[in-house]
Parts: sequence; structure tokens; C-alpha cells
Amino acid sequence: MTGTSLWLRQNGRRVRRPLALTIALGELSGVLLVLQTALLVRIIDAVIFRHAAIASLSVFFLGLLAAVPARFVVMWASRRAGYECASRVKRLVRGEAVGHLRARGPIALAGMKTGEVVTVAVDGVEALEGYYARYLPQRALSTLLPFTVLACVFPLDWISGLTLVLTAVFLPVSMIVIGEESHARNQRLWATLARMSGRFLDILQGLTTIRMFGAARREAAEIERATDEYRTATMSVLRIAFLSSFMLELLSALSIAIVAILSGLRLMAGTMQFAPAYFILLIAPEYFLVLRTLGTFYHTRMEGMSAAERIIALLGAREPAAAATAASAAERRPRLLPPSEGGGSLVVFEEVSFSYGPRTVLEGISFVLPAGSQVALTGPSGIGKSTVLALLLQFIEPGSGRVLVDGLPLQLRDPKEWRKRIAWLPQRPTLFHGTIRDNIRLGRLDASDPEIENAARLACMEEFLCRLAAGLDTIVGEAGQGLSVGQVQRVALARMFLRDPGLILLDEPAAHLDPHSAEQVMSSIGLLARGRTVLMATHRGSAGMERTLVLAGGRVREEP
Amino acid sequence: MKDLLRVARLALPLWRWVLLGVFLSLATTLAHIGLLALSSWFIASMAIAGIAGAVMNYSTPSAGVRALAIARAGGRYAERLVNHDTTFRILAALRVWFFRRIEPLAPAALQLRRGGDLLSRARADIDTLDDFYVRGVIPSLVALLSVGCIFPFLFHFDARLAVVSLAGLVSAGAILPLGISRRAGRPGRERVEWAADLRACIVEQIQGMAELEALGAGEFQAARITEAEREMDRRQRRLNSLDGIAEAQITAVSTLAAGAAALILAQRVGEAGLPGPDLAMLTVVVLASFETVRPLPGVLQRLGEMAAAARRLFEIIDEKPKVAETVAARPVGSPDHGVSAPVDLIIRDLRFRYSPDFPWVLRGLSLEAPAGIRLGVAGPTGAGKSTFVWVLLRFWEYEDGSIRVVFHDAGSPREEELRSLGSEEARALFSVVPQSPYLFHASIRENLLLANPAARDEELWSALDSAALSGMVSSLPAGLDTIVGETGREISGGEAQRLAVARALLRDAPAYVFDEPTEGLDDRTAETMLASIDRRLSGRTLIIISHRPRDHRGVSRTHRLELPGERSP
Repeated sequence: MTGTSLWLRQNGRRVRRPLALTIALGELSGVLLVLQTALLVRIIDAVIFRHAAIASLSVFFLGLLAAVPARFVVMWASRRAGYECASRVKRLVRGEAVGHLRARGPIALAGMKTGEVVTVAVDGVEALEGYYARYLPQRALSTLLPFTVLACVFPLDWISGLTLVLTAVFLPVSMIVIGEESHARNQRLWATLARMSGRFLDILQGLTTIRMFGAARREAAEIERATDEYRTATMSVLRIAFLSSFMLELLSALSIAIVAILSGLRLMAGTMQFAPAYFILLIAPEYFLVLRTLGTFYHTRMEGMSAAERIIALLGAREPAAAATAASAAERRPRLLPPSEGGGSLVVFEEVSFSYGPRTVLEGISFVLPAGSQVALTGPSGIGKSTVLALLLQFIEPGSGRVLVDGLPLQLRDPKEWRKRIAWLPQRPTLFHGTIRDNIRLGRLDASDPEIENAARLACMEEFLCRLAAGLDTIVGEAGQGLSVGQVQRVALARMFLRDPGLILLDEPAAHLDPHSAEQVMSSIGLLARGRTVLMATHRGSAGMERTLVLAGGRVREEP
Repeated sequence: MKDLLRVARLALPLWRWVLLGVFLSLATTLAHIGLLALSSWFIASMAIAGIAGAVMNYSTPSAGVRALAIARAGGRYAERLVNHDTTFRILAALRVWFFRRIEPLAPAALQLRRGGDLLSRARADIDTLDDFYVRGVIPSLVALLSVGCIFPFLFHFDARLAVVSLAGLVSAGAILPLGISRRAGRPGRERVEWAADLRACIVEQIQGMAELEALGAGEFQAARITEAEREMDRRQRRLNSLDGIAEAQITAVSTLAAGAAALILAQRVGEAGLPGPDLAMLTVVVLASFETVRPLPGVLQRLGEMAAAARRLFEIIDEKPKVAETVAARPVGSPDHGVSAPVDLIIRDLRFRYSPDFPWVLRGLSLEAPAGIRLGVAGPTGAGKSTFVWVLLRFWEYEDGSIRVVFHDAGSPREEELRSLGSEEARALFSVVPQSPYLFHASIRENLLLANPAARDEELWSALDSAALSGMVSSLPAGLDTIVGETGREISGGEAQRLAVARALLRDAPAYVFDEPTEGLDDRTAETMLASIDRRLSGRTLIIISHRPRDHRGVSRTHRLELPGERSP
């Protein structure tokens, strides 16, 4: 069994109860259908052969009428139960996907294509719905319902029952013989469609390149030719593949015809009653339910499979249970010592090395940041300044060597607790969707409104806030108002003012700012920095810091 | 609705196929109903004959039963074939149509204000619309036509019966589903909104993870994701429930209609002497006729989705190109299209910004590139190096200044402003390696042939050789047939860059513009490669954009672009 179907099955086990309920309700709906058919047959039989007055049949009409809402409710409930299966699986899988992303951490995540990950986590997971809500229950019902029908038919007339069973014998046989093959072909058709679609997207994405080489007309003709070629190739395959379903379809239609003709002959001979014959004829189509749903079967299944494949790729091809343990393993690092309180932190790097895969960035660097010191870390871009900050933020751990804070190795600290003592201004801060106030509050989630307003003032935000009609309550982020780089920088700065850090980390705070904003931002930072340890990564100048460390070739040296 | 009609018109050239599919589906459906109806009539007649002790000619009806059974199976087969074929045909038509319309918009009109998933959504939208024909238009037409056949048939036996069935069919197939889909409108819209919210939250989770974790707000964001998901799930649950009602009501109405039919016909049997077999047959016809309207609630439900897909596509293609064609496009592909004569480029005070609200990217750029020169362009990230290439290629319109092109054709030199050339003609002047070149998910050969479809394998190898890539390619087991691109063989950024260099070298143009061509190469190989390119392009203009001083060793002049606020020394 492939990993994909195993994964789908394992997730199916997590929703056993609602799944069983869905199937049970589907079966109940089938039983009600049998009941309704029996009542209808009873009425018609009585009218034709017993010349019954309508008034005498009212109890049957009422029964029929009563069965209508009953079946309606059962069908509806079954549908809802089916959704419950899908909903639970979706929630579990999405929770795991998001947990997995968080467990990988910000540095590993930086290399991932955000768009793809989001598509898988949102649409990919949604695409599992059909598989769990419809395909799985339908698959079970397509075996259950035929037995229900047979159980009704045999006591009434064994010849018709045998006719149906004989076709049923043919069914699996032909299903195995041609079904396997047609399954493979269906899969190929699906793959072909997906490939074509992928090729089309490829062309759209490379549109600029196509135009650059003046190849647009050629490519338009190519799309037409390729799609047409795929069509001819696929159709020649389908002509044969559909033969198998044609055989099954023919078998089912003929078996109904045979049941009808055999019944008719015995009815004329007087060896059979009309009512059972009519009843069998009316419920025989249910026996072939599996055929009716065959087409949609494959579609839903394939959709589920391809969604599962993409999700598995995102989760790193691990089984659901394994993914969960991996996440908790990341949590299980030692968390022994609480951080020291108050004042600036003393930071010591002892022979710290770090490499991203084969690329070595830091080769045994050592330096000391005394408590309350203000130090610039310089060097050209890409040299590893951000790596030093990431080590201090515990996003990554040193390959060798130690980072000590206030005399204690960082590995022994709980990252969550330690980060509370850090205020970090990233190079390009992120605005989250919400109001500016919400964004500042991220600095400390329990901050009060006056505290936030004070932080905004300290971060020199008033100048631009007064130009916004809604002030601090302006919606920003994805769909909201765009803020300039300098304005975003100040929001991030305000976040820092809500914290009480022992260590302030600044990553190129003035790199994207015009001279005026840069000056403002730097003077705000000066306010915050008093009495605290500051490390500022910058590619130019020491920018008013007390000392300057220069990073070059994986080593660090102090600039006089 | 207007958008859907606009889409429907696109399939007009294929009306024969659509019609054939409809006809075959209709025939299959009617054969199915006919099989059950005739079988019922047959056994009832046989039973009456049996009771009366009469002998009945059963060969004709039983032959009919068999014929209908075969017709149903055969019809289904033919119908599936034709409709699949039509799906492909319509898909091809839609794709070509969309490609032709979107092509003039790339890249400028597609870049602003829209996310990178624009194109993948467009692809999904096209698939949705393709589905619209096969699972929307055809079943609707079949339902309409079969009801059109069944109604007169029933009317022939009993007017009341026909009217009652029609009422049942119309309410189960149209009125009730319409009511349901109206109620689904709000949860449907809200679902889309929450899905967008969920998407945004996950984007933030990924892009802002470092900050979230540093601020201790990781759980906070996780809770936001959970909330968006829960809200979306609630809407989806409601929609599913409405779907369930739409599905179950058809069954309910069909049973009611069959009961009503039995009641009406039973009276007729008693009072007007309607033959018993007709009762057995007509009840089955009424019951089975509801199969034809079964797909309709789904179609109605999805109509909004289809319309939205159509609207999104039209929104994209109705965009105005950023660079207006000042000259009527010449027939492309005609021999005079390519430019083989050497050209001088004289750029004066070129100013460009992406929009009036944005800062200037090119602020008065002036440079001269006489035919055959080696020119270097240097500068920090963000100084407008790539923008400069886009402007040269006429993907963006320059706001101020001039780009003069001097053609040295036979005879006296002819000078023209770049803007006054057709944009295709302008692009024919350059062969370009952009900063992040796009490789198609195709073989190396196909990627190279894009630049020159007539190139022979020797030419491909020689171009690869000049780009210092022939060693790498010949070491691959599949050689030129190795698939590269997104999901193909992993190739490094530098290799991709050089593959793009080889591609650009295959194109015949007066001027070549290479952005960071030696990425990922050691100094020695880089030097060999640049020298080989220099030999290959003798007499042609070569502009090398790079932040590596080594790439500018062979150039006769280097022009520096500066960031705003910086002044050149």
C-alpha cells in the first residue's frame, strides 16, 4: 500500500464514530426506501388486481406520506454526519500542519515558499472533505446496500434473487479483470489532466520570459497543440477504459431486463404474483448503486489522494502520530533556569560556530557584551550578523561552543522565558492584520490602552498617526492600509517599549529609512537603551554605539 | 450572470460537440426511464393475461426491454466519450483564449497590487469554468429537454398527472433549490472571507514567525488561526447542511409525486377504466423522471462560484497594458521582424517610477552604448538595475528622458526613439538574462529552443559551452533531455542563471543584457566564461549588470547606479 492511502486510512481511523453513524444512517435511508417501495407496490397491486377502493387504501397512502419526512430527515442527518467526519479530519490535519511549521522554527521556514505552504494548509486540507464526507461512507454503502436488497428479494422470489446474485458474481470478476485496469487508466487520466494543468501554469508563470524572446504566438499554438495532443491520446485510452464501465452498465441493465422478462413469463403462467415481481423490479436499481456512483467515486478519491500527497509532502512524509511526537520532542528541551531579573544582561560568546548545511557562517567566534554596554556588530551583508542575533533569540543553537547569558549557558534556559527578556527589532518588521493598536500590543499581550498610547508616543508615531483618520485603530496588514517602511519600523519600536528587556537586539534599524526617520528612530532607541545591553547589527558605521565588533570570514574582531 | 454569458460565448465554436453530448445524455436518460417503464408495463400486462388465462404476445415488449437495456448502456458509453472529448476541447479553447489575452499584460500590469498566486488561481478558475460546461450546462439542458419529453407523454394519459408531475419537477429541480441557494449566499460569502482570513493568518504565521516567537506571541497567533478555521468550518457546515436539504428534498418530492400519481391514476382506473398496466408504468415514469433534475441543485449551488471564477478572469484580462502600442503591430514572424543591423543606444536623463505615488527608481540615468561596446552596470540592491532592463524591454513605460536607438542598416544611420517602435520590435533589439530567470518545467533542450526554435544540437552545445555549463549538462544521464524547472532536477541558482545565459546567447540580437551572469562560479571559470562570451558576441553590444567587480574586468566602461540619498564618489 502506498504511503498516501495509508495516511488517508490512518486519518480515517480517527473519525470512526461519525463515520459509522454516517454509514448507519445511509443504510437506514436504504431500508426506508425499501419500505416506501413496498407501500407503493401494495397500493398499485391493490388497485389493479383487487379493484380496491381508494378509501380502503388510505392507510397505505398515509404510510407513504409518513415515510417521506422520515427519509428526508435520515438523508439529511447522514449528510451532516458525513461532514462531521471531514470536519474533524480537516481540523486535526490542519492543526498538525501548523504545529509542524512552528516546530520547524523561523530559520528553517525561511527557505519555504509561503504561497505553496499556504495553499496546501488551506485548500489542500479542504480538498480532503469529499474523501471523508462522501467517498468513505459511499464505499461502505455500496457493499451494504446490495445485501439489503438481496435480503428483501430472496424470500420473495429466489429466481430473481439468483439473477441478481449471478450478475453480482460477474460484477466483481469483471471489476477485477477490467476494473483494475480501468483504475490504472483513470489514474493516468487524472495524472494527464494534472500535468496539462501544470504545464499551462508553467507557461503563465514564464510569460515574461516568453515575451522577452518574442515567442508568444508560438506558445499559444503550443498550448493548443499540446492540449489537442493530450486529448487525442487520452481519448484513445478512454475509448477502451470506458469499455469496462460499459460492460458493467450493460450487465446491470440486462439483469433488470432479465428479471422483468423472467417474471413476466411466470406471471403469465400464473406461477408468480404481481406484487413481488413489481417490487423486485423497482428496487433492483438500488442493487447496482455501486455502478451509479462509480464515476464520482474516482473523482472524489483522486482529489483526496492528490490533496493527501501534497499535505504529506508538507508534513515531511511522516505519519500523523510521528508528526505529533516530533512536535513534542522540540518542546522537550531542558528548561531548568529562569532568566535573571532586572538591568542589562551580560552576554558571552565562547568559540561559537554555526553552519547552514554545508555553508559555514561562524567559525568559533568569541566576544563579551558587558551588562549595559552598547555594541555595534558590523560587516557586509550576508556575513552572519543576523545569525548571531538568531543564536541569541534561540531560533538556532550553536554547532559548537556556548552562548552564556549572565553566566548561564543559553541551552539551559527555556526559550519562551528567555525571549521575554529580549526586545528585538528585525530588519523588516512584520505588520499583522489588525489595528495598529493590536500590532503594538503584540509587544506585551496584557498591555493596557494608556500603556500602548505611551509606547506609540515614545516611538515617535504621533506624527503619522495624526494623519490617519482612525489613528491607532487604523486597520493595517494584508488587506488594510499600507504603511511605509519607516512607519512599520516605528510600530515595531513601540512594541519594544512595552517590554522590559535585559537585551536589545537591533537588525539594521536605519537601513531602509530616509535620514530624517533614521534620526528619529535612533533617538527613540536611545531612550529605551538606557541601562540595558544593546547589540546592533549594521553594515555601515558604528552608528553611535560605544564599541564596534567587526564580523568577517566567520570570525569577529574588535575595532578600536 | 453577464460574465457567465461571456464565458458561454467562448464555447460557441464548439456548439456541435456540446449538442451531441446533450443529445446522447438525453437519449441515455430516456432509455433508462423507458427501461423501467416498459418493464413495469410488461409484467403488469403479463400478470393480467395470466389471471385471465389469456396468451399475450410477449416477444415484442420483451425485445423492447432488451433493446432499451442495450441503448442505456451504449448511450452511457457514447455520452461519456463525447463529453470527455468536449471537456478537452473547451479546455484548450479557454486556455488559448486566456493566454492570448493575458500575454500583453505581462509583467507590468500583472505585478501591481496582486499576490503571486494570481496565476495559479487563474488556472484553477479556468478548470472551474471547464467544469461548468460539462457539469453545469449539459445536465441543465438535459433536464430541461427530458422534462420537455416526459410532460407531453404524461399529458397524453392524464392532464392532471402531467401537471402534478411538472409541478413536482419544477419545485424539486428549480424552486426549492433556488430558495436554498439564496439562503446559502451569506454563509457562502462569509466562508470565502474566513478562508481569506485563515490564509492571511497562516501567511503571517510563516512570514512573521520569528517575531511572533521572539515576542512570545506564538500561541496568540495559533489561536487566531484556530479561530479563523472554526469560523470557516461553521459556514462550511451550514452550506453542507443546505446541500443535504437540497439533495434530500428531491427524494422527498419524488416520493410525494409518485404517491400523488398513484392516487390520481387509481381514480382513473376505477372510474374511467384506465388499463392497470398503465398505472404501473406511469407511476414508475413519474418516480424515475426525478433522476433528470437531480444534478440541478448542485448546478445552482455552484453557479455563484462559476460566476466568481469568470469575474476574476475577466478582471485580469480587462486590465489595460502598461505600455501602450504606439505603432500598429507589424505582422510578427515575418522576416523583417528580427533586427540584425548593429545599433547604438543613447540614453538621456531617463526617469522612471512604478507609479506616481512611488519614489523614483531611475533618476535621470544617462549612458551611451555604441554598437559593439562592453558596458558594465553596477550598483547596490534596489538601485534600479533590474528596472532598467524592464524599461529597455518596453515592459514598463519610462516617464521622462529618452532612449534613442540608432540603426546602422545598409545606407545612412537611422535614429528612432525606443518608444516609437512597436514593443515587439523593441524587444527584438535585446537578448536578456534577467535577475531571476524563469526556467520552464521542461527539458534543457526545450528551455534553450525557446530562444531560437531552429537551433540544432551543435548550436545548443556551443551556447552551453560559452556559458560554462556544457560540463554540467554532459555529466547528466539524460543530457539535454534532463527536465529542469520547478519540480525537475534541482539546479542551483547559479546554474539556472547560466542556463539562461546559454538561452540568451542562442538568440540573434544587436544587444545582450546579462544580469549577474557568473553567480556561483569561481573567479577562474567566471573569467573563462566571460572571455568566451566576449568572443562569441564580437561586434554586438554587451551590457553586464553585476555587483561583482570581477564581472566588469573586461568592460570598457562601468556605469554605477546609486540608491536614493547616496552620492557617487
